[in-house]
Amino acid sequence: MSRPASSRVASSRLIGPAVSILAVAVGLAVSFAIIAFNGDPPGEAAEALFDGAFGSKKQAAATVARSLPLILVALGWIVAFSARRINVGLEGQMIVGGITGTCAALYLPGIPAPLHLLVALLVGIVGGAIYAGIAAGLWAWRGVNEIVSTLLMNFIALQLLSWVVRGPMKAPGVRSNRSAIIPDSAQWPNLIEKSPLNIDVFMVVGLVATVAWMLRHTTFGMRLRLTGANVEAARAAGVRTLSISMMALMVSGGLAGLAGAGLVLGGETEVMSEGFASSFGLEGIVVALLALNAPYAAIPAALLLASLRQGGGLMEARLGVPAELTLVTQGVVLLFVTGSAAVVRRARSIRIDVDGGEHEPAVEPREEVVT
Amino acid sequence: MGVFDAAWVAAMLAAATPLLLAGMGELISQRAGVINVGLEGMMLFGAFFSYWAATEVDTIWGAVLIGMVAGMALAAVMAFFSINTNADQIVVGIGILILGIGVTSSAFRDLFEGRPQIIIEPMERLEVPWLESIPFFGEAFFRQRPVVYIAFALLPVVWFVLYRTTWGLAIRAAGDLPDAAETAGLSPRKIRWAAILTAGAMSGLAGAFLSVGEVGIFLNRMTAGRGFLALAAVIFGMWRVSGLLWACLLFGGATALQRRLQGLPELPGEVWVLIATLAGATLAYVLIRRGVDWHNVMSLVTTMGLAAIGVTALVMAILEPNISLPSELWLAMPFVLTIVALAVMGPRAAAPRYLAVPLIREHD
Repeated sequence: MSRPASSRVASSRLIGPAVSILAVAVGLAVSFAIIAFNGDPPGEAAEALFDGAFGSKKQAAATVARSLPLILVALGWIVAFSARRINVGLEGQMIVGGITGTCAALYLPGIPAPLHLLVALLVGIVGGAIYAGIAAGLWAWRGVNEIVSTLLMNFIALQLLSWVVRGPMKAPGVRSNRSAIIPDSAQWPNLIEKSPLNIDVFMVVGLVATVAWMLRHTTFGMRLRLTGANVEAARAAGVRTLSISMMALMVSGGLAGLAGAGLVLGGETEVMSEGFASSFGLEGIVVALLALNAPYAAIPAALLLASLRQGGGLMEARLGVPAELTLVTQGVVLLFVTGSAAVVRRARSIRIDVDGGEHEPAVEPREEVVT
Repeated sequence: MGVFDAAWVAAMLAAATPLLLAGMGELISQRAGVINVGLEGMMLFGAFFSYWAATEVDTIWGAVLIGMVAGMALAAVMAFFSINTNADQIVVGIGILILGIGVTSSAFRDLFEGRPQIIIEPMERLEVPWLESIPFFGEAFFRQRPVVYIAFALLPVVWFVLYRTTWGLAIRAAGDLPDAAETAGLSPRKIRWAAILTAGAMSGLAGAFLSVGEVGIFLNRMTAGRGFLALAAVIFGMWRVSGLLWACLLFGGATALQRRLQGLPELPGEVWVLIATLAGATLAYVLIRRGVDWHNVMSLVTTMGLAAIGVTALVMAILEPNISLPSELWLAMPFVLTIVALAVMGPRAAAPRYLAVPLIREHD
């Protein structure tokens, strides 16, 4: 407590981005060390990485397009986490949102163009929210740890997807396992012709602002954060913490569902196939953590991860460096950002003598179990 | 017995083996209070590094050992971040998973791509003398690869260590009463380190079994969700050794059955009989152990649900209709069952109290 409060606030504002930038630096350093160790010139690799991500207008558009579902998934994580609920089932919720959204796009014909897309997206949101709602309900009413249930429900969703594209939703007369082609009326219109970038980029940016505003400036957001900061205090203040936490998980699932529906309805292939959501669920979580759970910071974090992925392809083509190396970068970044954020949090909580109740079990026994 | 012949039993045991190995590691680590979501990544490490070692050295057991060490190396990363920096265990686990996939697939492509595929000779089956000639039982149980015997032999060892030794007491204390353990002069953080390393070695062995043990080759992401299946088995088994065994047999049996059924046009009657038997046995167990509480909605739903499944399966067994269930249903079943079990047990599910809670000393 030796320093004045104002300097502490200023330093804490800078510490967050510093942690993230450091983690990214470590992640990239590890990857380029591996590249150099392998005998490939790191300079050329970096150039290829950059060219692949932003070298041409088309590539930059693809990078931005790739970052959009990541931003949505990250927002989903952030909303749930602001109430300290951990939703690791975002991938499953994306898949369910994609399936339900595709159903609405394919089997509700005759709706005029902008409305059809809107309906399909809404159905996708509802699908993801309901799927997360199962885990939320089990948590609230049966005390089932939401981390475990959402994690395992990913695998149920994967099997569901594998079945629907092979069975009931399979397009007739094609060999591969995929749905029929999404009608034009339910597709996102292109923003840049012949590129994967659609006008949903505006929606995503709008949603980031909305979520940030919702968390900061609405009663719901305050209840979420209060529940997350201290359940007992929130309850004492009259917040219905169980329903607020359930809402948090369902909004989180809805955002993931929107990401899933958007991937199908805005995808270049114009169909739903088995792997449409693969890797976005986990990557979105990395984005949220890299952004240190700040909604606006999710945008640069998502762009960074998307550019690594996008650039990785060209790096592989030019130098033969496996594109999977970007996963190593991601893993290292994730570990360092959570590790150092935890250390910083700990150090700061000692200095200002606030110990956020971390000694208590995370899964407290529920008293208000409805049986 | 139709599809449930000796070959199915043998396939069930083989499919249960990696789940059991990784599951025992996960059980120890969860009892010590560490939920290890990165199990899959550690299994991939074991699978890849043992395969790589097997292409370089001649002894397959040396390769398996390398796989275990590789699993432990990744586990050490997990332990460092989750214990020494107190980062969230789930998030660190996700990082370990991503790292496991990334390192193994990029190293595999870098080392082996563009060359003729090297298939090493997988582990030979060990036919137990005399026992293997018993009809049915011989084929079902005693013509397995050595790792299968090791896995099942380790199970009572793990039980003994957890419940009959001071180490086991220390492990369980680290997960349930870390403060008490600390007061007693133990270091819960060191115990957790050891538990995570054990989980890494066991997952490495499980992964090595999949690559050099069974097929003699590595494929990208070849563990195919088995790490999460093992995690589900620990939870479905309610954090007990016996529960883990039943869960692994059930999940392994479903996997083996699903492979079997893919060649058949319709679901054979004996599968319905088995479902009816399992539902009936579970119902009987529930009734004997706990009875029916007519005022408890969950108890009623459980009882009625089991009875409904049993009766439906019995009717199906008698009628033998021409239907087949999608293979995805069998593959999703372990995860559905685990969530249902957690929902039914509700607050009584005996998870270690300090599971996933970082241990922070007052003044380090």
